[in-house]
Amino acid sequence: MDNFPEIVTFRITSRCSQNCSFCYGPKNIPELDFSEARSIFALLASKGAKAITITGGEPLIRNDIEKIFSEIKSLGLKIFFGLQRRPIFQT
Amino acid sequence: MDSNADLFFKHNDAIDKYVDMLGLPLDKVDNKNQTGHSNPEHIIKVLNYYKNLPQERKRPKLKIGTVVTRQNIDRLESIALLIKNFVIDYWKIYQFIPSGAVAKANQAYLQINEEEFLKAAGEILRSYGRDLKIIISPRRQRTNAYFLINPSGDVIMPQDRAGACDELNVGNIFDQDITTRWQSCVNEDKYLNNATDTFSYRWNSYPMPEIYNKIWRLSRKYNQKGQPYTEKHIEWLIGKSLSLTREEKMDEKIFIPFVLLHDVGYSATGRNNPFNRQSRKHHMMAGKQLAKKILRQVDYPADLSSKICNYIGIHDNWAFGDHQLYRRNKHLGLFNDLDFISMYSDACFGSMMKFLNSDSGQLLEYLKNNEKTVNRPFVCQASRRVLEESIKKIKIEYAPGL
Repeated sequence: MDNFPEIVTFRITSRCSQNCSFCYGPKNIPELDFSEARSIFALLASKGAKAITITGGEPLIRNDIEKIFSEIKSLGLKIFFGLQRRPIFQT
Repeated sequence: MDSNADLFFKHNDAIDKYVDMLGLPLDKVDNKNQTGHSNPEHIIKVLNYYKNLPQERKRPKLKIGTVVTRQNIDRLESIALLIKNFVIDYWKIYQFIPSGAVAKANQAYLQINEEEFLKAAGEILRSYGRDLKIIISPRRQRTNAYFLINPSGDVIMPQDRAGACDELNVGNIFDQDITTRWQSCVNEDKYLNNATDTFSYRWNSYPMPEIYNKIWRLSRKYNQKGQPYTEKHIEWLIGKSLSLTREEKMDEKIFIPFVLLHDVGYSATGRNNPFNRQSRKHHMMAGKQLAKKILRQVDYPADLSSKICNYIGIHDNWAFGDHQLYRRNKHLGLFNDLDFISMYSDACFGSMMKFLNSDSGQLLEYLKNNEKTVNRPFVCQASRRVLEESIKKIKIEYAPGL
């Protein structure tokens, strides 16, 4: 590998509605807002990344998740998206 | 509990439109007996949604992820039986990792060792590997193998030293020297293997230049008429080639189309025994002409096309006594290494047993004593590493006692 990695993993939130016993996700970390996250996506694309794995926490807990998807695709990047363990499905 | 799927179904249109691969966690199939794992019903709802989605509708590839712990290690088969009913692209089985405060706190009742993990996952692979694409991921594979960005923008490297799992803060994504810092701690082999195994298991989902995808699409109708395992064989080769050409600083523009097209000539020979010398000769000659046609269709640069077609026309010349060729030319040498090693892949091993009318032990013995290793030594350390990994994997599936 000469340059920047082609696949990067972005934990876009540490929030999650579950508390799985084997979770190794981040806890209580302040998250970037959309414009800050957007600048990261642009930076990653400019450095040569080809795909972003979006994970968390639970990514779907973010209200701007669809804007995030759209932004990443507009930069020509692929999105690998990992749902967390039974995250958002609260009764 | 039925309402729990609301957020997925709130975003499903956007997920289908934008997302290329969707990972779904599934660690058990019901709510009985297993503590520490949560409810699978919601994931099954999502799987049912994709099962019933009209075929023409755009959708992401689906990956199931299962974390194996002390609590579910004896119930993996029930997960296999469940997901067999759905269309998933692959199933990744992970060993539990005691990283992070929660997992560490629960380590005592969740942890399993690698031997236990490989035994349980290997049994699943042997029993269900024909129906499901399965990737086994032991804990050690995660060490120094990712480029992780935390919610705050810090770049993190997972590490597993002396049994303790932690995350090293490499710097901030906006730091000028973040690439250099990351490169100073990444294990490139593991990073590339992980990226290749995970994201290019169906290699054509891997982000590659569109030109290769065009070549692949044009070659498929020929490959499908070839040997029954040709497409899987090429997928396996491409997965390895994408990382090895970079690692070995070789010309990908030559090597990747060479790999994609090298067996198109079997469309002209029919599904004969590939060990038949006449078939072998014929497929090289026919392949050279077909490759020329395909590369012309995609306007591939003439000088590169000429080299690629030449390689296709001679790539199996070892069968006719020319071994020096592979020592003189690294493209042909590396190709020959991978072509040989692919016999140890799950894409080819079963077919080889049929062609050679042998069992797994006999085939392993045949490959171990193959003249390849004497006449055409492996051209680089990376080839030897891939060989060792492939032997290890195939033994888990076919010959656990050997």
